[in-house]
Amino acid sequence: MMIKMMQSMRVVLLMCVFWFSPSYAEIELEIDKSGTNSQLGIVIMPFAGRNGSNISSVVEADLKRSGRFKAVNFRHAPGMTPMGTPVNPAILRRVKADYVVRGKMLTNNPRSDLLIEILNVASGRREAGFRVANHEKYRRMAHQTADFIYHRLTGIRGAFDTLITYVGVRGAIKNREYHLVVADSDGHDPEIIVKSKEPIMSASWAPDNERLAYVSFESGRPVIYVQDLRTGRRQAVSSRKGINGAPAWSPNGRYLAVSLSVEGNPEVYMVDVANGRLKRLTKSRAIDTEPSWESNGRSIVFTSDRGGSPQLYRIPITGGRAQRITFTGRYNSDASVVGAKAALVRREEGRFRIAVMDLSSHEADIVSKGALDEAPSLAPNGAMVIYETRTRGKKGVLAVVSDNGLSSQVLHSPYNDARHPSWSSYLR
Amino acid sequence: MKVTNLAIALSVSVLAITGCSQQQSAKANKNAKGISPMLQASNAQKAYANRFGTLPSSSSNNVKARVNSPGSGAGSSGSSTFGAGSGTSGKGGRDTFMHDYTSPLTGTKGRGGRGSVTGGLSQDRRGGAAGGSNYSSLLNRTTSGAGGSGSYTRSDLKNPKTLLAKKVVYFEYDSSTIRSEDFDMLDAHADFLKDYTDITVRLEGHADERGSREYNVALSEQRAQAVLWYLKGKGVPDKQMETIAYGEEKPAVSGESERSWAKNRRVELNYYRY
Repeated sequence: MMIKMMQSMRVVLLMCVFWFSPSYAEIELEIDKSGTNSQLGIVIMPFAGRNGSNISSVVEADLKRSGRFKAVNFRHAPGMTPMGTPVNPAILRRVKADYVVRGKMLTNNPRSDLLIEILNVASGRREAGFRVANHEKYRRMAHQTADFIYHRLTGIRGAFDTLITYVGVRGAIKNREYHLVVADSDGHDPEIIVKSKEPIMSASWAPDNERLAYVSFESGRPVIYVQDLRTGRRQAVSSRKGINGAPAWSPNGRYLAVSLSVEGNPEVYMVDVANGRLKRLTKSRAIDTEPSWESNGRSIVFTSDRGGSPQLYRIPITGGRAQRITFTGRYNSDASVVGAKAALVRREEGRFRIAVMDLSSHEADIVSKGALDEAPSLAPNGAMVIYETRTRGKKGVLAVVSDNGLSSQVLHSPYNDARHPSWSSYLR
Repeated sequence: MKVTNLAIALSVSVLAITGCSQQQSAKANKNAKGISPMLQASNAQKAYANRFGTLPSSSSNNVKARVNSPGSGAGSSGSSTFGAGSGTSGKGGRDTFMHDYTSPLTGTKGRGGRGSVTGGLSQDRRGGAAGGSNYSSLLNRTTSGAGGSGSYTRSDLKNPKTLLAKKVVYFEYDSSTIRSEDFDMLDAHADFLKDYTDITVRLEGHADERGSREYNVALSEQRAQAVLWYLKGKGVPDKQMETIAYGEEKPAVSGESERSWAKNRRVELNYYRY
């Protein structure tokens, strides 16, 4: 019932937390408390054992980012004893939150598993317990813990144990360097996988998370590459005349939908990645680009200005008529489709914002607050969106907003200019 | 009187009908500015026609006349090339003096202006200022800019006193229409390219940062193509031009203001080997 209450309320709350590496000071912004009723209050007690408190900090940050939890400091749970000791119902029921989480490393061994339990404040009793397998990277254990808690308490699969990719840009205008980066979903542990003096754009995750497709101008012209993340090897998938852009993987990982202007103006095609065979899908004199596959693998949502300005359309992969699916506003583009939802860029009164749309009802809500927000990518559970925005002092930053609009966080990155974010699938 | 009224009514209705049908097809592909992408890309063609007043096919007669004028040393070898000009493309292929193109708007084929020269003509005919300005005056065109057209050296690309030193054209928001103030500078580049057939120009299109990135790549390609069609209409062969669309990925200036954005909506003419 808690879950239903939370889901039926839609109060806009802006919670911005700037996430810096330890060498920067943290900046706190005002928090509007009016919407806190719609979120579950949760206390994460620091976990015991080696790396325990590091892990619980990451869990707390993940749950805050999801927009469905309000993290309550453990000093609001006075008298709460560590895990392994029995729960005192009287003490538990006095906690000013809905749930308390306790955890501890099983042994002192660095290869130890982690034990977690969720306590229900209202009932005064333990609600669930689980064991997280050891991982040499403690952050992965933390993300898996957050996934478990999130799933248990909201019914939605957690998407914290996932990866993101983005393009980071360094240097002055005349001397730029572009980096294609892979990082954890919270921005930590970035790894550069391609460096170039010319732009890289539009990276897209294969569904097995082992390959990335992207566009690079390294050769002086745009080429679509598929790069194997394990071996680092890559193949050029399209380097035709004109635009080679906007690669998007099919759900079965066999095809890329792309936008090519080789036949005169940008059209959406399907490329068979194994043999390079091309099939044209759109036939219009307009710009057709930014394809995104629907989860059933049978149709593609894309941007077209055939109606006069950019709108979203849907076309079956067998070809045929494209059907318009956005009808509000004069600029809707760059869809990221997961399940029944699409995140997109919408212009309203001159401002570019991220909206999340229901594909069956066509209703959409604006979830971001900037004026130049773009490049949305939905998490694999459809409950969070990563996108590009601007803040003072930085050219481009990545931010994550929850689909209910209640949490908005800037992501940590070592770049002053970060763009083209894309969210991976679940890491198995 | 009845007849004249009828004639007026008929001609007005004919005009209205042709106007309507044009609008119908254009409506189907309008971009935000109300102009079909195809029309925008071929505005360069229209600008050419408006400027010279005549369809390019009629100009071939004028060029023939020039060839036969006395005093041109290599006149005989020259005229054999041109003599073949009216019906065919002379020596064949794109390297010949007369140069074909097809208007993307109307589909009519025509002859371009003064093209580049490969063998068969003597040095004094090649790239000479005389040739250029004769041709210009035959078309009633006022040449402007420093030193007229047609007499550029390779190093003039870096000479701030010539129009060639200017290598950027700018665009209005959401538009790929070439502004009239850029015609002279583009004409200079066209003349230069026609003189030096081994040189290729990269037409690099850009957009400002507003809106989604891949859509902006497509918009910037329309701009680069507009410049390409303009130069092609001046007789520059396809093989000497390349378009690359960067979208918003390579801004010239940073900043979130109308002023910065205006400086990023551009096509750069970049020469790498000259």
